[in-house]
Amino acid sequence: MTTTLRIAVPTPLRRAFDYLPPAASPLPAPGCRVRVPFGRRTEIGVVLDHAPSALAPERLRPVLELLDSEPLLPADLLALLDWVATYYHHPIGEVMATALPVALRRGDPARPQRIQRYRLVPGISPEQGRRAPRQAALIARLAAAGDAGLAAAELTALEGAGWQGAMQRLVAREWVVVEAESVLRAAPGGEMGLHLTAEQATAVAAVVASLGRFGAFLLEGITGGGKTEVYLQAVAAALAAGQQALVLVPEIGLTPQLVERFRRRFAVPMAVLHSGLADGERATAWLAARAGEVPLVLGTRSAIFTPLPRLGLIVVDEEHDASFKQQEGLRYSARDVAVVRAHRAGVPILLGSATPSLESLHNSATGRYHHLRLSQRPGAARPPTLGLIDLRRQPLDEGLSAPLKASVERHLASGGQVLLFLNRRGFSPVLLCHECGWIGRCSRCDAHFTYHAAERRLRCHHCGAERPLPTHCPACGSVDLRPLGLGTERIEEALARHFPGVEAVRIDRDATRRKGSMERLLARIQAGEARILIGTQMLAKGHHFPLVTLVGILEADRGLFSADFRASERMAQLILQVAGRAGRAERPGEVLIQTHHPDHPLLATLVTEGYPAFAQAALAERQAAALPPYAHVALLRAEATQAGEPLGFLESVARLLPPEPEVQLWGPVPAPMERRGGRYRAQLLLQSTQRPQLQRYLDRWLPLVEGHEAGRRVRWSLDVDPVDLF
Amino acid sequence: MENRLAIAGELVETTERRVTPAGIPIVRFRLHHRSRRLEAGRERLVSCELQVVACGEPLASQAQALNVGDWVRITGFLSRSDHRHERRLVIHAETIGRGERQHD
Repeated sequence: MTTTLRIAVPTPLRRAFDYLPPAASPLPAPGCRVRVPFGRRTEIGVVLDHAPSALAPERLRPVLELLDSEPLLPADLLALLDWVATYYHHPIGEVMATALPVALRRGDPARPQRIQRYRLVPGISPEQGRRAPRQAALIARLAAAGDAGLAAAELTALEGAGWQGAMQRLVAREWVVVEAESVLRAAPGGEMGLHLTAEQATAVAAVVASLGRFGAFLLEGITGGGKTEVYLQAVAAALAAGQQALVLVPEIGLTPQLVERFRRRFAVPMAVLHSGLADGERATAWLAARAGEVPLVLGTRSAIFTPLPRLGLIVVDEEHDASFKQQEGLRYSARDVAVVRAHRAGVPILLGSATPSLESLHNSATGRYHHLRLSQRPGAARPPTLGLIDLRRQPLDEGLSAPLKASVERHLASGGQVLLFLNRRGFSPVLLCHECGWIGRCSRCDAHFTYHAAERRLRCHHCGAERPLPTHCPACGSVDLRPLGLGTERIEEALARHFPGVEAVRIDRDATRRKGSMERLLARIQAGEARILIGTQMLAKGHHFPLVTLVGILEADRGLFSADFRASERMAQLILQVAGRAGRAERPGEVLIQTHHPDHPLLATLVTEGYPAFAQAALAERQAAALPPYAHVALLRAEATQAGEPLGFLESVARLLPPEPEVQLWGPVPAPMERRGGRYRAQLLLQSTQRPQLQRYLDRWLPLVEGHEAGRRVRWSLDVDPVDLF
Repeated sequence: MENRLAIAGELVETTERRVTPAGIPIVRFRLHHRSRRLEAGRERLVSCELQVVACGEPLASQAQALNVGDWVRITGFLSRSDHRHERRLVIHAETIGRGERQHD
């Protein structure tokens, strides 16, 4: 039998492919990239292992080209990705493609970008280039720059394009030396660690004592409780031991302050990985981490797949955040993969949140995680007080009740800032014809158009479709079209009426679309010029508003009665995240929540007893209903342009295996928003109290689903541990 | 289908102006009509109050210039007042004229 290469090729097929090794070159090691023929195309694949093939060699095609002489993916990462493919039941080729930076995925050489830096050889003066004015000019520039020299980009900025020819001649004459340096420079660092509270010190000590072996730590700390300082000191210990630390955050754009604190603290090269990076920059940072040149890697979700030969600690900030779960393609949870990675690597992992997920709290209760708590704010800061405003029999003036309006006035009068939270952008979620009842609806989704006043457009928030604002009702021709319901734009307009002369800024996706606009708005808030902030969940994360003394949550009820069992958990987390913006400095904060259901047990518990008590109550509900974390679920979603096809497909695949007592299948049912973007959607829920049983069922079931002929008329995907059931 | 109405009366409530999201003004006001009509061979008293809607320009501005107590002559058509009340009617003005007080 011939030795063949098992290669992961990016394709939706759930298997690896066998190829013959390239002629006249050594066998590529597992983790190397190769170019292979695939159908009529060529693809970049990753060698998984070598194996004797059952197929006759003449039926196999040879690898076309070897792209790496040594493995691009180290063995530990390769094994982790194999686990990811198995657990999430996703094609191994697509898993590899997800893990690799785009530039490396398309076959670019595994060479980090370098900056060319030019320095003048001591003793050379512009005089020496007097017969070549261009060279003389460059010498003068470099002389002025001194020892620091000039980077290629700086020279282009100073000299314009076309300096390279003259520079080459200077280098050839050995008047100028050129060095290639890493684009990843050390951060300034130097800032001293803060004095720790007793709770912080306990937390740091627990994590540090676990360096060198696996341990999972859940750090539950109230907002303003100093979680970041615990991260920083735990990371400092790992770095001091010569290890690499990986810090995962939900969204870089929303956490500039956190990134800044790491830079100020550690004078080491730090890679910041996020979706905004250029392909080359990302590949460079990834390769530098792989070479062990970067001790500190901070990044969003996909940074969990960064190769780290000296990994010593993983930190996941805001571990409850839904953005750690990828919602398309490989539907992995970066937090969960991080725990597995830490376990396999034998290093500690620190999961931090003010409002931990119920999953993590359950893991703490069962002893899988060590529960660390920060219950006090360091310094003089006091946590905000929470209160409910009963909206029943209370007239609302553009979303504001009289008690809330009075509180806003009081806080403004005493010099505080006010933050009003409404998680709905646009002017109004509905545009209605007063005369005939017509409502603007998206033609591709089961959804209303949102009216955006600033742009004078109707927009669908689900598929992005939009159209100009109609002047007349498309159904009856009446001009009496009225906005119905509240959006942030409408609140902003109402506030200008209620509080004339008080500057209000709105922060939502629409107001911050232009580059730099977010920073500009934040600056007006920080400077105290804007006194009222109105915004969506964009306001809830990361930012500190030390002058805010009142937080008003205009609508808390949507999370109470949703069909999604996670809705109340999300509502509580969001309320506390927003509440945490208040009173971070010396002024105590007040949080007022408007609701039609002040007696709702979960909401009342949250307000009177706080998040831990809320989480206990919510966990009890989950246990009674046998929902996660007391059960393990997977969701098979299907969609098609033809109505009926997705349901039909799911109905037939639901019967592919004989019923099993350990695994329940619920549905299929149409998605609550059945049509979205022109596609009909349905889903089938698989549930078991035993994770291994569910996994085994999926192992046997998915190949049958994949082979089912009805699958050709729908697009389907499997989501293991879905965060959105709908 | 025919739908045409001419009616005169006294403005009894101040006008109320709104602007639609698309920027079209809508002015509403109430008109009290009183007159004597011949019915079943006898003269009788007619008295009623009506809601008038003036949409767009120049009607909205003309309507807004009216004051309580003004005598107004409207021509227009009938339509339902809103989508929830099929039977509640309003007059949509097509012309607005100032009238002289007429004697009963």
